[in-house]
Amino acid sequence: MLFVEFRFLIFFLVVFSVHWALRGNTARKVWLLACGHFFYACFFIGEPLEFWSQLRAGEWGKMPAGWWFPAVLWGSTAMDYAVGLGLGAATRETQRKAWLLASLAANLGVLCYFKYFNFFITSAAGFLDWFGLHTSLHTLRIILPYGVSFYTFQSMSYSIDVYRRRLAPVRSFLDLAFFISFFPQLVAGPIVRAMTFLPQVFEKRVWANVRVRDCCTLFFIGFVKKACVSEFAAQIADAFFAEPQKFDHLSAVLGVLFYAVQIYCDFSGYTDMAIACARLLGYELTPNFDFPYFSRSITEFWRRWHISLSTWLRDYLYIPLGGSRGSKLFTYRNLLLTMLLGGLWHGASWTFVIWGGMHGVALICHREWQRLVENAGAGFKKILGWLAMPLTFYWICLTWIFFRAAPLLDEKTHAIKATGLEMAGRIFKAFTLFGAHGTRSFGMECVVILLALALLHWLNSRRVFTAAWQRLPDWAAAALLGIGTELALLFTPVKYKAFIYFQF
Amino acid sequence: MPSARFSPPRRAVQALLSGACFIAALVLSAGGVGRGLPFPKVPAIFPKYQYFAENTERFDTVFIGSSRVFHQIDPQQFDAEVAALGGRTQSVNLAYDSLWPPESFYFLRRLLALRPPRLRWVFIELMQINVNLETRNDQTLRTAYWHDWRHTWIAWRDIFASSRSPAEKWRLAAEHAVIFIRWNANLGRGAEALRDTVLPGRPMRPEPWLDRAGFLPENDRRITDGELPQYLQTVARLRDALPPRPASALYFAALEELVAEVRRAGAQPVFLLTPSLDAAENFTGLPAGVPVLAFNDPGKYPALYEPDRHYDTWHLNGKGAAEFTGLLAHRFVEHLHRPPSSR
Repeated sequence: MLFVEFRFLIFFLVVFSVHWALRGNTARKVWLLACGHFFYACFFIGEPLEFWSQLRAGEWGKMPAGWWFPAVLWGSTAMDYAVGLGLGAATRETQRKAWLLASLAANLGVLCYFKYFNFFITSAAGFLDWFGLHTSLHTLRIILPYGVSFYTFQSMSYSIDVYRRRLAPVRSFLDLAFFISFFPQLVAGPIVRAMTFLPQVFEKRVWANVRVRDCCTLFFIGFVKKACVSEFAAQIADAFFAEPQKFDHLSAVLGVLFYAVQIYCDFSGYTDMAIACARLLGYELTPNFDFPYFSRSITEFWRRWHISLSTWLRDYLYIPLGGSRGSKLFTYRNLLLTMLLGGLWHGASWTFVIWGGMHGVALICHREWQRLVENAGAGFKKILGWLAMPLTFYWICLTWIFFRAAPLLDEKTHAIKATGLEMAGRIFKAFTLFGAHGTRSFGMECVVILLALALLHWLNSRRVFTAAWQRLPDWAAAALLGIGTELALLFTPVKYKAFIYFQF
Repeated sequence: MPSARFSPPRRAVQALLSGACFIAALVLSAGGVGRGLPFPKVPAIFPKYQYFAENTERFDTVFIGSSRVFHQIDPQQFDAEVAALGGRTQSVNLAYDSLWPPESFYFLRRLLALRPPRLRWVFIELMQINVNLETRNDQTLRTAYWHDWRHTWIAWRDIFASSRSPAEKWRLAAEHAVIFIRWNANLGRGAEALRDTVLPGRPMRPEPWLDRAGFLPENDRRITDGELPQYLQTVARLRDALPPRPASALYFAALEELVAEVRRAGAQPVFLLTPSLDAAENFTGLPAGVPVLAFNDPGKYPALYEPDRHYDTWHLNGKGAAEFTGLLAHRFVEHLHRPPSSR
C-alpha cells in the first residue's frame, strides 16, 4: 500500500477518523499500532481478504512469500523492550554492556541475515576465486523485508540511548511498539530517534494543534514530487540506464540528471507525505531534506540530504568511533568508515559501497580544501563561492551513477552482459564527456522540462510561494488544491514504481 | 500550539466548506480537462477511430460490432455487391474484437460526434450487454476508456439486473466505479502524452486492415475434429427451434437512445444479427422502425453454418466471410428496394 495509491487514501481516512474519535491516549495508541501492523502486513500479504481466507483454510503453500515478516518486526520490538528493562535494572556496567551488546547483535543480526547474507557469501566466493581457490558456497533464497534497515536503526537508537542514560527505559510495551511501528515512517523513514518521538507518545495529542491545511498542502507537494515528477524522471533515467551505450553526450548527461531528480523527488516526496500523515495524527517527525542540491559543499550536502540517517550515523557510529577527537588521519579513517558503512546500509552491493566511499573521500577532500583556502584572498573566495554549488552538484551526480548502476542484462537470454560496476564505468565516462558514442537522443523537451523543474525548485527554496499561499483564505486554498490535484492526477502514470528507498 | 480562538463548531463548518470547495474544484476541473482531451490512444480501437476521422468525407456506411463483424464483413466486397444490385455504398468496418455493448455504444457515439457529413447507414451488431472485466483487460486503457457517466450507468444497471450473486454484483459494480473515478479524473492521460513526446517509442506497425477498409479476415482454418460434434449438435438444435428472446428494458432503452442519436446524425440505423450459436441473441421487441437483418437462424442460412466456412465455432473463416458479406449485401439491397412505408 503506497502513499500515492487510492486505497491508502481510504485507509488513512479510516485511521484518521477513528484516531480522533477515540478519547483515551491508550486507545488511540492501540488503534494506531494495529493500523501500523496492518499497513506493514499489506506489503507482504497481497490482498488482505484473500490472505485471510488462505490463513483460515491453512493453505500454507499458497501464502505469499514473506507473509510472516511482521513477526520480525514484533520480535525486534520485544527484544528491545526486554533490553530496555534489562538496562534499567542492571546495576553493574558489565551487565549494561552485555544488554547493549545483545541488542546490537540481535538488530544487526536481523539486518545482516536478511540484507547481507548472500552479499557476503558471493563476495567471499568471488574473493577466493580471485586467488584461484574455487569454492561451492551456496546462497539462500532470502527476501528482504521492507523497511528493515529503518526500523532496526530506530530500535538500536532506543537501546543505545537507554544505555547512555539519555533516556529512561520505557515501561509500557505498547509505547515502544507504537514508536517502532508508527506507520507513516515505518518502511522508509525518516529514522525517528526514541529521544525525540517517545515524549510525544506519552502525551495525549490535541486536535486543536493540528494544522490541517498545512498538512494537506505538504501531502499534496509530496504526492506531486513522487507521482508526477519522480515517475516522469524515472522514465528518462530508466531508458538511459538500460542502454547507456546507445545515447549521445547530451542525453547521457540528461539521463544522470533525471536520475538525480528522480531519487530526490521520490525520497523527499515520500518523506513529505509521511510527515504530513504523522502531523494529521498529531505527531511530529524529523525533517529529512533541506534542498540538498543547493549545497555548496559535500559536508553541507550531508547536513541537508537524508538528515535523519546522516545524524544517526554521526551520533551512533562516527562519534563512538572517535569522531574528530584524534589525529587528522584518525578523523579521516572514521569519516571514511562511516560513509562506507552508510553506503552499505543502502544496499548489499559493491556499487553502494563505492558510492559511500566517494562521499567519504569527498568529505575528506573538502576538509583539506577548506584548510588550504582558509587564507586565500577575497576575490578567489568569491570565485570559489560561485563554483561551489555546481561543482558539488556535479560530484553528487557522479556518485549517483554508482548508486543507480545495475547489471546490464541481455534482452533475450537475460544473461549478464555487464556487471553493475562495468555499467557504472560506462555511464561515468559518458557523463564526464569522455566517451559517449551512441546516436539516441532525448530531445530538447527534456532540457526545457529539467530547467523548469530547477527553476521551480529554486523559487520554492526561496519561499516565494509560501507567503502568497498563507494569505489565501481556506476555501480558496482548498479550491486551488482541488485543481492542483486534478492536474497532478493528469500527470500521474497509471502504474507507479514502489518508492526507491523501500528496498533499503 | 492551541489557538486561543479555537472553536470546534466554527472549525467544523470551515472544514466542511473547504472540503466542498476542494471537491467542487476537483470535479469541475476534471470535467473541463476531460473535455479538452483527444480520443485516447486505445490499442486497436484508436487506429480505427483515427482512420474514420481522417476519412469522414469518404464513407457513408459504417459497421459496428465485435469480432463477428470485424472478421466477417468485407466492406469492399459489400460495396461491389451492392453496386451490382443497383445500389451504392462506400462502407467501412469499424468493428473490433470484443467490442460489445456498452463499449460498442460508446465507440459509436464518439464516431457520430465526428459529424461525418456523408453518413447514411449505421449497421449495429446486436449483442448482449457484457460488463465482465476480463483478466486480460483488467487495468488497461481498453477497459477504462468507455467509462463515462452514461455507459457506466448502463453497466451498473446491467450488473444489478443480472442473476449474479449479491457479493459478485457489488464486487463488479465497485470495480466499474473505481474505473469510472480513475478515468474521469483523467488519471495518467497527461503523463502518457508527455512520455510519447519525450520518449517516442517504436513507430507503430501499419494496421493489417488498412487496405481493406477495416476488414481483417480470419485465415482458412476449419473447426477442428474435436469441436465438430458439439458444433453440429448445437446447429441442429437451433435449426429445430430458435425461440424469440425479448430485449430487456435496459437494452431496449439503450438501443432506443442510440438509434435516436444515429438519426440525429442524419443516418439510418440497421440492426444486425450475425451468424451465431447463442439462442439468447435472437432478440425481439427492439426499437420500432429499425430494420433487423438477421442471420442467426441455421434453418434460413444453412451455408453460413457449414463447418468448412467456420474458423471456429463462433467465427467464420475467409470463405464464410465472403459468403456472409454477399448475403448481407443482398438483404440490404432488398431492404432498399422496399417502399419506404414497408421498410
